[in-house]
Amino acid sequence: MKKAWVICRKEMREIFRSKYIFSSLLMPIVVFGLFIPILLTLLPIFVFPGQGEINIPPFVTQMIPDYCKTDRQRLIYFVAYFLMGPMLLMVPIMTPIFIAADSFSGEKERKTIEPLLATPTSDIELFFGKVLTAFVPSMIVCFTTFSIATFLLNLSAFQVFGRIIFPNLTYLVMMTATTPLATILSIGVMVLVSARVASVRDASQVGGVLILPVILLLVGQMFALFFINVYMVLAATGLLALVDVILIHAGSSRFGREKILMKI
Amino acid sequence: MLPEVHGHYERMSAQENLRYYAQLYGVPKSEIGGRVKDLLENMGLWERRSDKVGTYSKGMKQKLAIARALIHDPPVLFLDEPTSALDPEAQKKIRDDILILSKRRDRTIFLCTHNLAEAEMLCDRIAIINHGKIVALGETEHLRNHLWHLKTFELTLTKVSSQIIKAIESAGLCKKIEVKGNSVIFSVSNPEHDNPIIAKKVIDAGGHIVSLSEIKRTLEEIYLKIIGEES
Repeated sequence: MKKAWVICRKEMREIFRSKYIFSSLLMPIVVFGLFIPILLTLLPIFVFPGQGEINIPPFVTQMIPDYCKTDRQRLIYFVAYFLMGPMLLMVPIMTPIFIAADSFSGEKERKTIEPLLATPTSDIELFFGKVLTAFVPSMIVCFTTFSIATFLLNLSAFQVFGRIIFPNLTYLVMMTATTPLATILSIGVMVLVSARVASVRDASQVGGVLILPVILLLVGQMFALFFINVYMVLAATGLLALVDVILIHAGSSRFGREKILMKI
Repeated sequence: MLPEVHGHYERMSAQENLRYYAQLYGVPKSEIGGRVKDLLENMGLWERRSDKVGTYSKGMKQKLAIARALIHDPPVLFLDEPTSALDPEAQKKIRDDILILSKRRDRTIFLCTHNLAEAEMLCDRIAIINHGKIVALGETEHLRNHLWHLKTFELTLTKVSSQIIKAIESAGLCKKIEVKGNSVIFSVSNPEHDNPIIAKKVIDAGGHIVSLSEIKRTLEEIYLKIIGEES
């Protein structure tokens, strides 16, 4: 696997030299880490500055824990866990899509694939090299986004609760376990697609489909159709781990340079 | 292997490109620096080693591609259209480099090209491939002799007269005689035996010989004949 690291290191160097790819990595940090948290946390402060009643529907209130005594506390809790939390889950799926889509189809477009495939690097090393290339920067982006968003949410919450409220155990598990596994799933699918199509554009279009489950989750949470708890997250994490193992096993065994060459 | 398109990472420098491939080819870490330096110096790229490859000319990129193909010191090299899309000066430099690799450094080189003049210039043995099958294989001279039993010569004189033509015909050795200005073009089957006799006949008929040289069939003619026969 030494050559997988060689590939990963070289790709990272190229990513940081391309202002377009680098800015695409900064985008989630700016949007999901700064812009949306600031907007959402400022909302309750400026929209409801007084002590007046806020109409939170009873079915939503039922899902908010008892320690949220006032409407402002309930609103901030709603913003943190029903809006911001699921939104943050889009980051690990979205971030690696472009890098992973570019993995092989980008090499095909730039005509660099032939010399690479001529090297004695095994198919598995090539596959893992490309997966790592998308995984490492995605994780950096994810944790940076989560950290900034968490800080900003708590900054707002601290004024109302007198303590930090985000993340709870559910989101902590989600960020540390579910997120990396979801990222691997996203990357694995994209790398396999990228090896089979001729252009980055074709590969990226498939990437859009991967975000759909997270959007469903977001919509479900926003409309309080359900509220994810730690058991649901643990079950989803276990399922993701299983899918990842199957994907990586199937991907690395079916991944072959002949198939890539056929699509040049 | 040198593919038809150089395939360099253009945002990286020549040195970084070679180091990357050296690692992928499993060159020991302690040897990478030395090899990269040697190759870049040999290809005349050392001064521009830290520049991004995207800023190189086509000739420089092709030289770098050859350096990359040599980074793991392979005994056999596959070069696909190594001079395509290059200007004549760059083409000559690349051809000289290929000859140095082959003759002085004892590398076996497989050259894949549609440029038959270049193949004739560089290659010891030629294989002609038609529809994925090798239809002819051997040294150019061997292919030539195999296809044409007669050899054609051009005899240049100070002046061609009808007496000289009759003298050549009287030898009974030439299969075909043609006059072009002050030259007589003729074909014989055994030049070592026939040409001295023909030359003597010409001199005896009062002719003054300026030169006698073989008109060799080009590889292009060989190729066209073989492909024509195949189809």
